[in-house]
Formats: sequence, structure tokens, C-alpha cells
Amino acid sequence: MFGWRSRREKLLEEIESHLDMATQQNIEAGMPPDQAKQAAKKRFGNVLLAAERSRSVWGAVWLENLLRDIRYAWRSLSAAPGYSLTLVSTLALGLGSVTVMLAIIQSVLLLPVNLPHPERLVQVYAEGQIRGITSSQHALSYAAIDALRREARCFADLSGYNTMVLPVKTETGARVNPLMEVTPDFFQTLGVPAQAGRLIQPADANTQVVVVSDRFWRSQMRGSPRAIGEAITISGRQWTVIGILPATFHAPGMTGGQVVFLPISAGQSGQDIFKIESAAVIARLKDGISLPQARAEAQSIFQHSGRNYAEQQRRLGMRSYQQLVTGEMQRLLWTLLGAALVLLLIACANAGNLQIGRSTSRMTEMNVRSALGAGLGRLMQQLLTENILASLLGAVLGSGLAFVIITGVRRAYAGKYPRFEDITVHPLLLCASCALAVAVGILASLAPTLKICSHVTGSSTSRNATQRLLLPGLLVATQVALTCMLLATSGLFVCTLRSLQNVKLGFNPKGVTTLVLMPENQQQNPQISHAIEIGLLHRFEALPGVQSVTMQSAIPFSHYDMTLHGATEVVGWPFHQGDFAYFSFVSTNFVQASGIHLLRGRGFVPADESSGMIVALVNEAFAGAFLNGRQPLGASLQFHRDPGETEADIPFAQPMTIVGVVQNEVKGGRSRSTIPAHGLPRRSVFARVLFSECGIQHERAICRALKPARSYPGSQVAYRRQARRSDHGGDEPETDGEEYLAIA
Amino acid sequence: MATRKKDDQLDLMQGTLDLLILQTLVGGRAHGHAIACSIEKRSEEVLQVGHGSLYPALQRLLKCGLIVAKDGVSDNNRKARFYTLTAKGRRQLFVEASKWQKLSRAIACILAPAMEERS
Repeated sequence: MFGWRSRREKLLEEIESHLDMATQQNIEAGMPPDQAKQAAKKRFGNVLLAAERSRSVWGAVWLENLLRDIRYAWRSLSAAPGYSLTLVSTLALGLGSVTVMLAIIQSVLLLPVNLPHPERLVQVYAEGQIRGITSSQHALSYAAIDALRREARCFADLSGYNTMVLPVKTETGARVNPLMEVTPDFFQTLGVPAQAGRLIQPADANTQVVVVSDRFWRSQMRGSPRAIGEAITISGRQWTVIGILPATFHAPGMTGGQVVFLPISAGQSGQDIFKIESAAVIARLKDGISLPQARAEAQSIFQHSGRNYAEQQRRLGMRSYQQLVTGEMQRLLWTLLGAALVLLLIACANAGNLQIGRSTSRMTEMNVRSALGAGLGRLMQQLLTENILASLLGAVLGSGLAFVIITGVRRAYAGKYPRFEDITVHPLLLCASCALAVAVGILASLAPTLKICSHVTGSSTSRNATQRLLLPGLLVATQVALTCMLLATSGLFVCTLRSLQNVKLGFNPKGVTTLVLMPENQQQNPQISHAIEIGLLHRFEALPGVQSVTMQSAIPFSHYDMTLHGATEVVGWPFHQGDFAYFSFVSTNFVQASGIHLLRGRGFVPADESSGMIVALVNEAFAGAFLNGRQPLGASLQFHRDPGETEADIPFAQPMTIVGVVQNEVKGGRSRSTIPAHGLPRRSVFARVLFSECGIQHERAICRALKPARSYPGSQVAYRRQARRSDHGGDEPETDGEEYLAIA
Repeated sequence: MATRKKDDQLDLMQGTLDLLILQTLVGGRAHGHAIACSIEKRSEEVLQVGHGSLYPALQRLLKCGLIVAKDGVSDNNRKARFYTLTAKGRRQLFVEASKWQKLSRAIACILAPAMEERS
């Protein structure tokens, strides 16, 4: 390489010629040939040493030595395939698992917050009792957002957003697509630039313009370079695409990545065009402002702003953007990385022990090399090179392994957890893995190298015989200790998993498929919608294998639910402030389809549809809180209205009659980063109401089949086909991640 | 071959070999063996060049561009590598030789009383 060999050969030739000339000169001086040659050699000195010193003048000798060491190490490893294979596989397992975890952490935790000064980004949320219909439990009303933006001095920028799913029609067809409704300064708050076109600006507040994510542009607009200026239809209205976001941008709390962003246009009534009056809030703190400072200021403004009905009992909370985006994943992933690192340590100890065993058989080789003039440093360099090479081979194999595992993880969990569709082994990560491999190589070779060195330098006496026995023992003890630790941790994980499996969900998730249905045109006549809803349910019921079908406004472990919380009073029973309940609107077959356990009374029956009376089921928590000691069946409940509050503040003033009591159901979101909620089980009311009557256009159908939906390959297509055939026109039971949630 | 007694012979001082090589090449091109022999001969065999140390020195001078090397054939018909002084080498020789003379004169001045005492 680099002509080193020919240069060295030329030098040796020159020295040879020199020796010949000197020999000839000695012969001419009268010496016998043998003696003459001997004298010439003696006068010249050590030929190899002279050649070595000459080479050192050329420079980069270390590189030449390194390459020679690598060649030697490769030969040495190939000579003992069994040992090499065990060593490399051990290291590959350790390094591979760490690479997998690093890849997941980079894609899930680090890249989403790869924004300018992410430490200054915060989420501002409302906490406390929720009242009325909200898109998010932690949203702030548009009025409160405006007040904060206007008056707060701690924030450089403050913006709001709502996530929802709506029918979006492009050239490639119509689909139910995730949408993000954002205030015009949203992208400015985050500090995101446009990939093409421009982003939403304050001037766009009341215009029909949208910005699309890179993935939406690539899949729904075929990556067309003329996408800017194109029109897309959202919920029956035309919108113009004005910009494309960069592929690296991750919208907070969104799975899938095919997102359309549109400006929030709140009208006089405080509601936007989707009849939403509140939004989740993110803000950028000014430089040097701390979170408590900002919270105190925002809280004071919030207290004095014109809070709406829903916000009256609420206070402000604040947390970092990192927590909002990565919330519940953070601790779990770091724990898993810790476990992977422990596995790597075990691999290191194992590799060290393997090498100690091998070093015993290499003592003769080392002694010979030492006798030939190899210095201690040179021997150590050789040993280190060999170990690092083995380690790097392990890293390459481990990276291959990681690539396969990551592909599997991506396929299995994309769309189920935010940002899992973006998990990939980045080239930078491979470099990090190689650097880690070098460190591991050095770490794993310390013990055997020291052993060889002490032997070669002659300090290996009977005193060290005890140490030689101690060292492998110590490594084995370390391995056993670390393995026990991992086993104990995994055992705890398994216990937790088993406990989770035994948690009483309150409903039976087996064989359940859920779909989101919505009319393509949201302005459709409610009567038509109602007729179609009924028709659809019957069609789903007619599908082979389907036992029962129901509709529900909010299903457990789901995104995009519209939730209705309200002060609730039981007629004839004293009302107390803080008597809140969570409402879910359902259709007739709710009890059968959801598998919720009915404890008392009855479920809904077809006769309820025509009775003119709104019937409801309440859960145990509700019965315990509001009807303690009373007969719940037949009791009447309704939303509580304070004096002066009207239909606009509190909808559904009609009384609802309790016909049954069901078991408490588990609450929670599947993957959305929720703010931890404390307290008692949720008090729920399941009211049998026609969706079209209450203005909710997102319907969730729950279909209970004989077998789990996943083992039923045609079911998804069949549901979709039925929905397409319906008069809903572009109805499509399709959203990212939500499409056919089968909690099986 | 060295004909002087061992006691009369001196090892080269550190750093002087490069200067002597350059001086040797003033007379024209020469190969390694010839350079070593020439230094010994011209010093009346007082200075002993370790032939082995000649080659690292030659590589050093080549690297600095003070000499150039070219393959050729020696007088007794052997393949050899001939070294020639470059213009840069000639300038360097002049600078180093001046320095050396200054140094030797200064040392001679210091040592003069000791010499007089002995005589």
C-alpha cells in the first residue's frame, strides 16, 4: 500500500549492494571471502534496524504497522475459527442490542425535538375538572390563547393546535386523514422552515390554505413538483396547498406522518369552522425565562382572562415540549437502553474470559516475538488491534442484526406508536456503534493483554499464578451478577405484563375491530347521516362472522375522540360542585359489541330507539358517587346548568334515564402522550343517542367478530367495501393507526 | 578499512553526519558505500561512520530535498543508488558549515589554555 513495500525492498537492495561493495573492498584488502563478508556485516550493524529507522523517516510508520497488525490479526483470528466465531457473536449480540436501542431512542426521542432551542419550547395546558365538549382534555379556549399571546411577556411565541381526522380528497382519492388545525404562528413557534412553498402565516387566518407533511405530499400527491397551488378537498371544502414541511418535522402527538395542517379561523362565537373552541397550546419561552416564572405569569393571565364555561374550574400547567412529544416513552426507552448496556457489559466480560483462555496458548508466540526484539508497546498494540478487529467485526454483524430487528419493529409498530414509522439505523449511529466497538475492544482486551505483558516482561512468577486464577473467576462473577440483575429486571417486567393482562378492562377486547366513519361532506343533512348510520350498521352486521355492531363517540385507547365532560346532576338529588361525569354516546348494540360487563338492569334494546326517551347506562363509579344507597335503575340524570347558562354552554339538557349499571372501564390513551391523571376511576355515562342528533360527525364503529380481526384477513376489506357502498359517498373507515384497531 | 588504532578513532557527534554527507557530495554524485568511505578517508580515518546510520541520514536528506537519488551502476559494475546534491542542499551546506566553523572556533578558544598547559 502507498508504495511502501517497493520502497522498502529498494532500500534493502541498496543496503545489500552496500554490503557487497564493503565485502569486495575487504577481499581486495586481503581478507578471505567469509571473513570479509563477516567484517562488512559487523561494520554495517543491524540491517533490519537500519531499514526500520530509514522507514521511520518516511513517516506514517504507525499506519503501516497498523495495517500489518490488522493483517496479522485477521490471520490469527482465521486460524482459530471456533474461538473467533464465539467471540464475534458474543460481541455482535451485545453491540447489536445497544444499536437497536440507540436507533429507537434517536428516532423516537431525539429527532422529534430536533428543533431550534427545544429547551425553550413548552406545552401550556389546562388541568382540573373538564366541562363540556372538548377536543382534548388539556386544551385552552381560543379566547384564553389570545389573552396569553397578547399579555404574557414570558413567551416569545405562543400557538395552539388541534388534531383531528377528516375526509381528505386529493387526485389519488379520498381517505380519512389526520389533520392538524394550527394557529398561524404555530410553525414560527417551533422554528420549522418550509421544504417547498411557504408555511401558514398570520395573514392566512381566514383563508382556505393548507400545508402538508412530506409524507402526505409523497403518498397522496405523488410527490408532484407542482403540488404547491394544487387544491385538495377537506370535508367538502376546497383548500389550496401552499407549502410542504420538511421530512424531518414531526408533528406533536401524531402517528403516521401523513398530516395536513390548516389555519385555525375562530369566528365571533369563539368557535372555528369545525365547531371547536379550544386548542392544545405550545409556547416558546423567551431566553432566560424559567418554567416556573412563565407558569406563574400565564396562570395570572389565565385567571383574569374571560374564561369560558369549560375553563372555570381549571388552572394552568406547563411542561417541556420534550415531555409532550416523548412523554411516556422516555423512561421506558432509557430503561431498555440501560438493559442493553448491561447486556453489552456481560458480552465484554464473556469476551474477556474467552481471550484470557486463548492468551494461555499464545504465550510461546509472545515470548518468541519478544525475543526477536518486539517491544512491550508493540506487543500490546498487536493484541489491542486483534481485539478491536474482533470487536469491529462484532459491530458489523451487530449492525446487520440491528437493521433486521429495526425493520421488524418498524413493520410491527409503525402507526401504533408515534414516530415508530421513522425508526431507522442512521449512518451516524453506525459510526457511534463502531466507536463503541473500539471502546468495547479495548475494555475486553485489558485483562488478557495485561496477563500476556506480565508474562513477557518476566514478572510472571508464582505470585501471579494466583492472580491468573483470580481474574477469570472475577469476570465470571461479574457476568453472573449482571445476568442475575437482568433476569430480576426482566422478571419484574414479565410480572408487570402479567398484571396488565389481568387488569379488569371492563370490556372484552377479544375479536373486536374498530373503525372510524365519517361523511365526506360534514355539512350533510343530519337526517341523511342518521339513515346512513343505521344502514351501515346493518350492513356490517350482515358480514360473515360479525356478531354485533355498535357505534360509540369515544372508544377506549383511541385517538381523536371528542370527549364530553360535564357537571352532572341526578334529578331529585342535591347537586354538589365537582359532580362531574364523562359521557360517551353509543348506539343500541353497545353492550353486546363492546363486551362491557352489565352488572344490573339491562342494556339498550331496539325499542329504545323509538321510545322518545334518552336511556343511559352508568358505571359503578358513577353509581357509587351519585347514587350511593339509592336504586340507580329508573333514576334520571342530566347536565347541570348554573343560572344564566344556556343551550350554547351546556348541550343535551334532556334528562336521561338510567336503565343499567356496568363495570368500570379502563381509561387511557394508546400512545398519545397524556398528562398523568390521578384519582378515582372515571365516572362514566353511556347515553344511547343518535350521533347525527348531537352534532358529532366522527363515529366509531365497533364490530365484534367471532374471531380476532387479525386472523380474519378479509374483514378489513369487507368493512371498507361496505362503507364505500354506502350513501356516505366518500366514507372510508381509514385513519392512520386507528383504521382497524383490533385490541385482540 | 580502518588502519588507525581504535583509540585514535572518534564516533561522529550527533547531527554532524548530515553535514558531512552534504560536503562529500559537493565533489559529485556518490553511492552510500562511497560516501561512508569518503568521510572516513577524508577525516584521515579519525571519524568512524556507522554504515547502518548512514541510510536513515540519507533518507532524511532526501525527504528535506537537500539531495536527490538516482539508480545507476557502480565502478565495479554493481547496481547502486547514486545521491547528488541539490541547489537547496548546497545552500544548506554553506549555512551549516559556517555555523560549524563558528562553533569549532569558539570551542577552540575556550580550550586553548588547556592545550597550552599541556604543551
